[in-house]
Amino acid sequence: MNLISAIGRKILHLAQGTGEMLSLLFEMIYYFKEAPRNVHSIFSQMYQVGVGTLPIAMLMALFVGMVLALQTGSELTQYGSQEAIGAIVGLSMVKELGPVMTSLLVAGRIGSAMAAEVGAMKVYEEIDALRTLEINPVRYLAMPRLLGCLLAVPALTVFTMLVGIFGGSIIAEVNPMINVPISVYYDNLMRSLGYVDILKGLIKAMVFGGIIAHVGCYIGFGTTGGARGIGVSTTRSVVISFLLIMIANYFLTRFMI
Amino acid sequence: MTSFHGKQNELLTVLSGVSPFNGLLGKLAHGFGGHFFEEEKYVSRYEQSRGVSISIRNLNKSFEENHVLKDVNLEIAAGETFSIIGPSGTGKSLLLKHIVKLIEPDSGNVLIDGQDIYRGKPGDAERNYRYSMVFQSSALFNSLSVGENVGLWLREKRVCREARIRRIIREKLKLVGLQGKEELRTEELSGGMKKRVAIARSLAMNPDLILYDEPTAELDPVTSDELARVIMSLREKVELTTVIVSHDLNFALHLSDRVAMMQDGKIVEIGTPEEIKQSRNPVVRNFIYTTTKGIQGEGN
Repeated sequence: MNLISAIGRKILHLAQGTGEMLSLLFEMIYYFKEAPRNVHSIFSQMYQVGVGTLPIAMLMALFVGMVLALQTGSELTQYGSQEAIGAIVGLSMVKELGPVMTSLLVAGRIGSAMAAEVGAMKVYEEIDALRTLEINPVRYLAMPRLLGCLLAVPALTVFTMLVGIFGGSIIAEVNPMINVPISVYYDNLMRSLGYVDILKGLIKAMVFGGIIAHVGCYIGFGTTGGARGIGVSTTRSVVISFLLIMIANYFLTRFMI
Repeated sequence: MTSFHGKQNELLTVLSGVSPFNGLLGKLAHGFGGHFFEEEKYVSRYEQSRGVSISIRNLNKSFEENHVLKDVNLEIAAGETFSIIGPSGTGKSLLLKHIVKLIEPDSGNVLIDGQDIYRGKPGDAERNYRYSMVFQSSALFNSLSVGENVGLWLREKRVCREARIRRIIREKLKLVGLQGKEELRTEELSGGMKKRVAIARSLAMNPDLILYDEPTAELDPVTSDELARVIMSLREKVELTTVIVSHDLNFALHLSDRVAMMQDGKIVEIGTPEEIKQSRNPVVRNFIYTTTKGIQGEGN
């Protein structure tokens, strides 16, 4: 009986959490109309997400592109079809690795910081202070973060796509085992990559950006219990964001394939 | 937005009535139940403030098994400076949060100028008074400077033009003895200065009701005395109702027109500072004795 009631409690908790997350999402979207009032805050979020993450994202994309070229190149060489490496690296970076890798990086770097910042504001009564100042915390804190992520994560993804493809081309050219000239690499890439593929990758990145901000703010608003609570929220936001990004990635791929 | 949330909630409430999963749907209804936070958009008669009356009737609040506020009844007159004293953990701050709608009661009413702040329908409960609260932790926004903290409400509500907002910020900071400190970052301030900035931020709203939650907590006696002088001078310069929650007996007795003593979630005594000092109520006597290190007790 205890087990059944424990499962029941978990289900109720999940249902309540889902309801609250949807409620927060609707309210954030509702306050998009107030975006012009919060332009400064939105740009500040975009700067943190985009410019702040750009160097590490580019470095990571470079090595991911290089590894991808190395792995696929060595396999393709066995079948004598190494010219296809440009298409494989390009499509992988644009449709999967670019958006997913960038989003995971942003979730670890920015999503956790969002949960910690909003959580600290909750714990130290700043959210309550906003409410007594008649300022809606969703409009003032969450909406700019959501919009910032929705715009900046796809922009960041464009760079990671390009740098990943570039990294692959270097390895294709200089690795004696693969030995595919850069011109062949890009020629092959341009023949197989369409605008629709890029658009699909960017849609994914936008959805993942939304998930990061949504989870970060939701977890932040629900923070309780002082410094320890802030630490717990930070970890939770990263874990939940990672999980939701992976689940969303499957369904987005399924519907856009 | 309210009606959108309202329809969601209505639908889920209806479903929960007929479904065997009523608990689950009830929780979902709670989740969907409207705004995370409400935002008041009404700014009227900024120039004048007035005191408002507060009437608290049979207020109860529990957290699971812990019944914190037990049938609290309190009447605070317009323009009065009223303190609620008592040991830590008796529900004083919780009571204050009910007055500013940060927490909803389980039962009972809070009436401000005769209007029940929890019972009106959303949308028709636009209030015609302004309140602000000075938090125990000051709750200043670290990302903003002192001046930006003080002017936040004015800018967000677009109460007036920027030049006038800057003038108001200067005036309010001068009122709390912090003139010329607009550009300082909040991390550069001492505990007492933070409290005074928080007071200036509240005053920038030109409130009809101002609430202080443990204003002297973590402050040394000299700074507490300075703060008392600031609050006293405000009483003379600004027309408003002041509610102070404190466990600092001397501070409360010095500042207040009337004082209420709280113990275990109940109001056990209300009176003027003199009446409180003379009270024969053993709870009050014991509180006075322990907070004044036995000085009063020695006479008994």
